[in-house]
Parts: sequence; C-alpha cells; structure tokens
Amino acid sequence: MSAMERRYARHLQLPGVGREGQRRIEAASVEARGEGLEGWVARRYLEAAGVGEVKALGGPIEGPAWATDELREETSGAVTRGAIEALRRLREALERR
Amino acid sequence: MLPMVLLIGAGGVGTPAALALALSGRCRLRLVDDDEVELSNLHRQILYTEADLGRSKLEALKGALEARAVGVEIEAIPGRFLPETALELLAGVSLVVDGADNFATRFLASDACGLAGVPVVHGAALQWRATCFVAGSEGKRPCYRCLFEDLPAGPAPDCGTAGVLGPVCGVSGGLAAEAALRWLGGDRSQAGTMASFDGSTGRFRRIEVRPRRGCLLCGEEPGIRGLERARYTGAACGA
Repeated sequence: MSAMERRYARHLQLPGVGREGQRRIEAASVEARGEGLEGWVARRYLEAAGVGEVKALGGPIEGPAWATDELREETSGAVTRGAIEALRRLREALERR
Repeated sequence: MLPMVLLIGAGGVGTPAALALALSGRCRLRLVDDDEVELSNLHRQILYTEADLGRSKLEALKGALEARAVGVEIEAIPGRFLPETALELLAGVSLVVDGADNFATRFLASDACGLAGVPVVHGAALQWRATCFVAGSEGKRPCYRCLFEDLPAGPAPDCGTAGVLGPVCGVSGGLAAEAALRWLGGDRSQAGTMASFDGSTGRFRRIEVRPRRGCLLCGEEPGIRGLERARYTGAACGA
C-alpha cells in the first residue's frame, strides 16, 4: 500500500468518495469562508483531506439555519461551523468533473 | 476552580472537541488515550501533522492545545479507559466527553458514568454522518444503553472498515463540546437528546430519546451494578 493509500484510506473506503473522488479532491482549488477559529478549522480539514489548493475567503460562514440556534457557544460553534464549511466545499469538489 | 472534563479518546472526534473545550477557557481537561499518531489519522485529526507521526497522541494533543489555549490546565493520562481504571479516571470529573472509537469503550463510558452519577456526552462519526448523544441527568435516564442496548454480537462497521470524511468528525466533536459547555453552564436543554448531521445533504436533526424500561443500566430493574470486564469485549477501530 502506498503512502497516499494509507493516508487517505478512510476516503478510499467511503461510498461517494473512493479513488475517483480522492482524485477530484486533490485536483480541486477551493475557496473557504470563515474568519478566526472557524476559518482555520475549515482550511485545516480541507488541507488534511488533500485538497490541491485552499484559498481563504474570509468573512463569516453562512451556516445552515439550524446552526444559529444549535451552536451558541463561541468556540464549539466555530469548530462545528468550520467543519460544515469544509464539508460543503468537499462536496462541491466531488461533484466537479 | 474550573470544572474538570474527562475526554476519552484523542482521535477524530476527540481532537476537535478538545480544541473547542480548551479554547473556551471554561474547563480543565483530563485526556485519556493510548494510541500513537499514524499516517491514516492525518486526513481527519487536524491537530496532528506529519511531524507527529509515531508520537503518542496524548503528548501531541496536549502540546497542540497548550500552544493554542495558553493557560489551559491539562492532565494527560496514558492508557485506555478500562473497567479497572474507569472509576479512578472519573474522580473529580464534572462531565465526560466520549470520543472513543469502539463500542466496548462507549458502553463502558456509559455504564461508568451512570454508576458514578457523572453526566456524559457521546460523539461519533462514521462515513458521512456525525452524531452526538447527551445522556440524561447524571449519565442516565436515558443512557447510551437506552439507545443501543448492548454491544453488537458480531463485527460492527467502524471508520476503519467503512470510512469517514474528516470534517464529519469535526462536526461531531464540535457538537459534543457544545453540549458539554452548555451543561457546565447550567443549560440542560440537550439532556436526553441525540443530534445527527448528514454531511452528504447538510441535514441536521435532533430527536428526544426516551428512557427504556428494560434498560440494563437505568431501567426499572437495572442489572448493571459494577464494571465487570467480561461485559466489555470488542475490537478497537485501530485508527
């Protein structure tokens, strides 16, 4: 097993990602929103996923409506919003041909 | 003195939860884990880098948290959360965040907290789904066993066999930290609820979990009165 296969083993096993999905993630240039902790979390998850290029857009993340009510605490809310932003951008990268 | 939170597991769910809790400045942390950082961890455990490969997760996590949350008080206890050590690890703890990677530890965390009367939040991530279950008052009514009854009889899917997308772990850890901080602040509105986030659709749900009459831990005739090793056998994810 190559280092790449070991590193992204959990993606390669995942329905909806697999080898083709990982290839798309690595080929993607992604712009992620978010300032401070939430922006850092979003960018770190994207870099860790293997995204080719991660650009910081700044500005607040426009979270889903539930996030406003559910995530009140400053730091935990920022971690969750950042992770959701990374997921959104990964989904976009996976949908790209 | 700030309340102590015991975090079980320094992996995919534990690291984002630890980051949020440490930066909140509202608790002390006791961390327990026995793994080392591996290459297959790096796609989702965002506080670790290639420079940490082969290091103990506990040591790497403690360093990463102290660098970001200056002044945070952290006890790092190497080892697993086991029937023999569980109650000792719970001493002086106000709340537990369970970020374990296997069912045996999850059930043990639930039973130990229920018996000791310590509130517990269980975070989990698999494939595209993040979940966070907040047990009822003092770790029971309802508890994890009200939801899942007992350990799976055979092999159960885990992130090592079924895969997981990294940020899904971040959502679970963030939700677990949110629940913990609310509880510590006196807000019990999430007690007895299960939050579930589907990363493939962005859909979020929160459902109320009912206590189960026949629950072995907190039902009408509870059968669990101690932490017997034989009750908690199961393989770890190893990731």
